[in-house]
Amino acid sequence: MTTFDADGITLHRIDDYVWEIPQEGGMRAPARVFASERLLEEIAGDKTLQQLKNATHLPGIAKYGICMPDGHQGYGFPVGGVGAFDAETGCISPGSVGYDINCLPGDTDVLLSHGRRRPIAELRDRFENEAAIVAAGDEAVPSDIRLFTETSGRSVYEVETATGDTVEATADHPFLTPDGMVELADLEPGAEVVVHPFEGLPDEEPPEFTLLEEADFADENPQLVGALKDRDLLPLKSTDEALGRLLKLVGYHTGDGSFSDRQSWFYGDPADLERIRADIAALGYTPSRIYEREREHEIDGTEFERVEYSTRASARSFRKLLEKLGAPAGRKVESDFTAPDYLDRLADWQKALYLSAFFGAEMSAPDTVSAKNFYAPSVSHNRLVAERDPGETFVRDLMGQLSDLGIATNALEEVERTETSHGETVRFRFGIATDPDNLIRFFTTVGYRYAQEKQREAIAAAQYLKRKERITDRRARIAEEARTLADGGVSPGEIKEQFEVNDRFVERTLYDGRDGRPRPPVGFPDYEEYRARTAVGEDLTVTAEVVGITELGSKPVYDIGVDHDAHNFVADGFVVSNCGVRMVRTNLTYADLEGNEEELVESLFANVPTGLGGGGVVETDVDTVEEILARGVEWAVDEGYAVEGDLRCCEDEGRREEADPAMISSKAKERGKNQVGSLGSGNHFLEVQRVTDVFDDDRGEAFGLAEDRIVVLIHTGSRGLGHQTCNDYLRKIEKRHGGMLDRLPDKELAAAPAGSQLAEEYYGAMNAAINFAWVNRQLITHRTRRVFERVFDRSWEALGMELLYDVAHNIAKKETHTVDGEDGEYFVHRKGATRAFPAGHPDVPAAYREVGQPVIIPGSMGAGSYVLAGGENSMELTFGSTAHGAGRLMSRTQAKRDYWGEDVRDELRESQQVYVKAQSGATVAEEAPGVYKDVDEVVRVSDELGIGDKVARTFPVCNIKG
Amino acid sequence: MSYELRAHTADVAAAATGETLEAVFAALADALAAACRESVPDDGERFSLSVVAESREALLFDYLDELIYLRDVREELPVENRVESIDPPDGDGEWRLEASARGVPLSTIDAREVKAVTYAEMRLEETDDGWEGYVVFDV
Repeated sequence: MTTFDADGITLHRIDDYVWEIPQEGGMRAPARVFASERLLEEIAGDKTLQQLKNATHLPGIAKYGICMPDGHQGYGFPVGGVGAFDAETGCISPGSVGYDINCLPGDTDVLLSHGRRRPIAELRDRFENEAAIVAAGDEAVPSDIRLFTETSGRSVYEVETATGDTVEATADHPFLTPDGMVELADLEPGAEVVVHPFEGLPDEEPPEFTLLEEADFADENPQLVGALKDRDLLPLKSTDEALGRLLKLVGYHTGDGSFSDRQSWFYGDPADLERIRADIAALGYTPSRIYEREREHEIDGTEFERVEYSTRASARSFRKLLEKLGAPAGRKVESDFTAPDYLDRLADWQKALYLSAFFGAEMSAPDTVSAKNFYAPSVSHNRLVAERDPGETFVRDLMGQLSDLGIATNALEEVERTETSHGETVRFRFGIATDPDNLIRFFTTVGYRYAQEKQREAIAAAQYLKRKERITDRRARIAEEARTLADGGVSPGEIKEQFEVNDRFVERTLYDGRDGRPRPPVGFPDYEEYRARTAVGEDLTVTAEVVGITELGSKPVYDIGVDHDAHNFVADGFVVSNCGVRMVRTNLTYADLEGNEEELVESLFANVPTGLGGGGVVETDVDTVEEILARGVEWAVDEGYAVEGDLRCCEDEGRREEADPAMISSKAKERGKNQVGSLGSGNHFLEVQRVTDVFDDDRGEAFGLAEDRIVVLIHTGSRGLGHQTCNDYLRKIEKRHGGMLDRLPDKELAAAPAGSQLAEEYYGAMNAAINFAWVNRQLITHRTRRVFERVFDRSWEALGMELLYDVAHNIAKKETHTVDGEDGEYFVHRKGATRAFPAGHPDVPAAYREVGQPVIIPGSMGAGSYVLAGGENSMELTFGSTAHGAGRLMSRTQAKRDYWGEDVRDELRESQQVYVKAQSGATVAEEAPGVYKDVDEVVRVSDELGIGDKVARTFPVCNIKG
Repeated sequence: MSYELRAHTADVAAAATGETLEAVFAALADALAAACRESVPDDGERFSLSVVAESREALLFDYLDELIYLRDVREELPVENRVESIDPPDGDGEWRLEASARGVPLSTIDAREVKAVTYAEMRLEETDDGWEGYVVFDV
């Protein structure tokens, strides 16, 4: 069988025990189920597969979502689920300043692909289809927006820079600075922040109409039409995504391109041609490499040589498409072309794509006419005298389009006529009007596309002019106020004292009767000086000095997150109670125990707190809970509940360094203080077991396991404290990132974007809860040792009661994994799955490093448990994970109908010599052996896959539960 | 107002109906108690609680979450739940709930622990006859 159909979900067999659900719809990665066909049939019996699919909707999921052989339906992620999320912070550039996801008020513009901008609040209903511009250092690249959130009423600040630009953001909004990301709260006037001055034009929907349809290519052969249709380029509509790229290519080609036979050539700097190649490729065509050749030029009778770079597309359909969109064929100087007539009907941002690409090819770069003032960037255009009229129409069309975009031009000039080998030509010229606001608008909303060096100069010029304008505006205001004061009879001396400006300025204002705008002060730098110290990045970012930060009051704020550099998440719904399992070995054999079972089970039940309201080994105060949260098992060592050896054999040596007790609510701490050292109820239990089989002698010996040896298995978590923490954060995420939640198929998949404040808080809280869970299991271990000492009348040390291992199977951890051949940091979420690192992994305790990390798989009461060792394929297949248990097969309500607690208990004792003691008969019925999947089959699959290798099997002797 | 406990592979689900929003909330709270223990003795004092949240569903979640929290810290099982009032937002965007319950001391009963309320598959819908609710509890 190569596929498996599960009620509408089709799985494809990839390999033995490996099934894949292909990526589709909102899934961001495929999903894989690691199971035999028999287990898959059980897995397919409830909503597990749908939940697995849902989980792959989370942003940043790496490789594939995973379901273990024991997977079953949970809430949010299925139990038995593993997902890894890239832990590096992706970065974005909302609006003009700053990166990343934090909070910006609703009117902050976000720069989108194709030079469009849109207020962030308006992205709510369309973010999934949008790409925001990410300043990625070497290039500004469009990246899909993956996340949108809205939060009401947060305190907002306005940051103003020396260029007079402002951005509003919350105190925790990170700004990119030359020293890395800095939160707004830590910025001060004088600090430098990185800004992206290109703003683009407002994003409007163009009116929908068809630019080209099949009938326009009636003269062409059907293959050509087919080639366009195959690429979705025909019919071509005004609203098509591809049109943006075509407008740029047509604009640039009209300036610096040519056709020869079926080839479309583009000329320019190699770096710019790379961008053109990328657009050609994005349309589905194959651009050539970049050619280089020496060319002799003749301009005005002078000959010179230069290197010419070019690239071409060779498809006839591409050439025809550009031509039909208005790119002139033949020699341009002899042509009668005008600007494409459809431009008028397009949105402004679309017009700007055509114009700016043409300007990239044909307009002069920004340059200064004097120390502090600029020439008008200008376009010269030559036509044969015979084509003078269409030439003039073309140039006037360009000027008209600019005017529509709010950019003024100087009057059209007809500069000269020249005799050339092709006949007499006429040259038209126009420039962008040089008043500073007009130039700034041109440079930051239209500019030069594909021509990176010109655009970088434009950014520098815009920043210089903004700075100059800001300071000149201030002087103009002072001048006006000074004149008003003077008119009111205030003496010049008093006026001078009032303003922080030099006295000479005030005197000239009052006595010289100056009209118009003042000049910038004497010390204001020349452009050349400014340019020398202003670096414009390849991604068109520059640094700007912060001059003021003002609190504006409370506003609703918005976040977006983008896909670039793999955005990453700490998902909450995955990780609940940090429950896990530990095994304590003994040097007792089953024969030593026989006859003592009754006493042992009664004594354990009496001494280990179980069930609801059963209290804890330690009942304490919030201060102590905080210490436990911060220090984990180290606290237990200091208090005499643990020994150093317990630390060595615990995952992470019993302490999560990243734990932050302050991130745990006081409600959670209140719940925790009476539950330190308690089993709880449900599927949690303590079991005395005998080793029935050792499958692997070497590893068995390394783990200290031999047949007939007695071990103790403890399965519980962080109790009420963990559950309270989970729900606290679920609600916080809902409140702060509700926009994203609405788009996930299941609210329980709540996730905080990595790098966000909430994600950090949650990670700190979860690690603290893990510390609490370890201490919980340690205190139960302590009590168990005491019980064994009494029953067997020897010290626990003499009984060899050492911790074999303690491993969590409900946890999210930052780990290093290799994906697509590259090492990266990932938040690996294991919900009902166990870490299973192979031999040699540095995170495996030294004692076990040669054989692999111990994995403890608790089974159901009648079926026994397993000890595995991390398998050599686990890193490659499952992010270093394997199963965690048998997995439920039957609901609790059904179990109670099918089983009666006392019957189950008696049956286990009589036929299997298993002594069970529970607070509630219902729990026994609900946990009856038949309600679980066959643990043997689960372990067989893990072993066959090489993700967790069978080492030993154990069978219960005594079992206590809530 | 009535509820029933439903099958759910790993957990316990509760479905309830009520003529009013208050009634369906109280029925779900009683279902939570029933998921811990089927019958309860008559002792225990009544206590009151209030909850504030930003939406109707969030209010239900927080109400049940608060009952579980109070169960653990008071060491009492809240039964005979009454929801006195649910007020829609009054300009501040917050829903308000006032409720009370009788707290049966856990020391006097053996009860099973419901670990948490979840949002999984949660439904709260107005019908011709009033309201219907569905909640999955983590046990």
